[in-house]
Amino acid sequence: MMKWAIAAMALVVAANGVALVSVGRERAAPATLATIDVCNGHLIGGGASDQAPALRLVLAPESLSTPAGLDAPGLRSLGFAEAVIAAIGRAHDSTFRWPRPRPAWVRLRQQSDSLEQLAVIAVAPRRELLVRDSASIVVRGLVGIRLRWSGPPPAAAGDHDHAAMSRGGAPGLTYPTVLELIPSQLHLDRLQIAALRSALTGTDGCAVKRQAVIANGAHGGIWVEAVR
Amino acid sequence: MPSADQQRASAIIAFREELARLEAAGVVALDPATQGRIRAHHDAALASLAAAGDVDLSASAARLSAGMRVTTLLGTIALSAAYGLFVSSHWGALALVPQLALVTLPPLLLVALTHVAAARERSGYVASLLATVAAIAFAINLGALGQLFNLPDSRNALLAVGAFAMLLAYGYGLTLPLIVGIGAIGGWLWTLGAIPLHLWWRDGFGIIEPLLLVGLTALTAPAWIPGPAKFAGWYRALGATALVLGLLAVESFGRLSAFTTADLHAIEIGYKLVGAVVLTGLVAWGIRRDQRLVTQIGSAGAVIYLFMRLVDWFWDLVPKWLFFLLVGAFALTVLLALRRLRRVQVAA
Repeated sequence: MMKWAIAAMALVVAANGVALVSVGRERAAPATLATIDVCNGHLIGGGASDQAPALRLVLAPESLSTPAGLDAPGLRSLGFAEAVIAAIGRAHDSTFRWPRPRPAWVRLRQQSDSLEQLAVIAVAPRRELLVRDSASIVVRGLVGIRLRWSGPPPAAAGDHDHAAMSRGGAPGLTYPTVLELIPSQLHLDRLQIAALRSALTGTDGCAVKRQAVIANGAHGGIWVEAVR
Repeated sequence: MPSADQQRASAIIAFREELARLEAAGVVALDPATQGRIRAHHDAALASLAAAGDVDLSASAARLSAGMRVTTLLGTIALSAAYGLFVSSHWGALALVPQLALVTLPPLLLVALTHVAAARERSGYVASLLATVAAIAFAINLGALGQLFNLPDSRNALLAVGAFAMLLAYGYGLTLPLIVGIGAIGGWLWTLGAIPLHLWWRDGFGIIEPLLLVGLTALTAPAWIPGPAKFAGWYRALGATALVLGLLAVESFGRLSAFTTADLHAIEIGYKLVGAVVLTGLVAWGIRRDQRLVTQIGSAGAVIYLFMRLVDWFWDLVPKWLFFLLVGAFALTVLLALRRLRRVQVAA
């Protein structure tokens, strides 16, 4: 029986070891550093909260312009079917089959508006295809298709209730967008959250800001390198 | 599910009760020497079974064992919740090394405690509880590492936790970790369907065909995975459940199929036909192999399947009162058919 217990313990040690070694290698030499503004609304947890301290990556609402990589060739490279690509930009009809989201790499840049949200600059199926600079960060994401309303949307329809939307009467246009970021938040250590909380707690919107240096690793890792 | 030892003990006890009834009715009268030899043989067998493991030798002992199983499950849930909440409430106040220690050491410690409990307490209830909490602690460990280092969530965490639970289940003959292991490895296999479709692994849970394959694999697993006899029933029951739930889901919602580029209506019709064949086959297989749980799960699935077909065919055609009258009449017809089948079986 002892050998089974040792094997189980070895599995725990190996899983933790693999994760720690790969993270250690990644963090030893960040590929790019980008500075973003942090507002009170971006923070999660810290203090007496039960939630783990983290910095939320808040996606800006979609603009009318299409980010690079979400055009027809880009969608094709992400694996969307030709029927889906052909329906983009057209009025939604009941025969349209909503495709499942596709994983992608997403380049984000912070908007300099009142909320300091992150706008999608470019999307690509592989990380190497995205240009990196000190003003943007790169994370994984899920790309899907949504409806954009040309008129006021039906009140009862939720964001994902496509059937209710289509019954509502207002003609919607299908468009590709980033549905989710992976990860959707970045861990902050106890010193980082303490520094940000002490400066930002109680402030409205982005009236008061601090800065966080976000590092992208050479193999896709991302973390908060420092706050100031 | 009773173990082989428990089944043997129950058979001996039932034999004694029936022999006493036969003797009281004057059907049989064993001479005292034969009676003594049988009793001595059975006493030795029961003593050996009781020494080898946790065997209920009376109905009241069996009821207590059922209570212990429920308590084990509740204890596992409570301890796992306590650990998870303790981690989340202290996480933010700790530096990196204590954070790592807080999530890495508990699974290791719980494995050691499982080993000690399995050696000292032969019933296995405490070991089962500790091993299952260890598996959940390992899952929390991997989740916390992902959160700490902003790692993308991965299906491989399911594989690691499943393998860990299986090691403890097979090492110590524990049922509850086995269920966790089958669930986690089954979940990992289910999500593999996302790979050829170029989907994120989590979206693999939205595709039913891999779940059907996982169900079939689990159903047949006892034939090719050696292990304690009491594990076989759990593999079959969980496999049958996966098959039934998968078929009921995909025959109603064709978009859950991997073949969504085809006509959804055709997919649903196809799976309705497959469902009729598979559910009937599952019940027949359960009856033929004397697999009570598989028969019950298959029967429950078949009843739900038939009810859904009745709704499809008649709900819009007839008044609601007539619909339920038809369902009641259908249930009576099935009852009569089953009664006739049982009579034929008894006569044979």
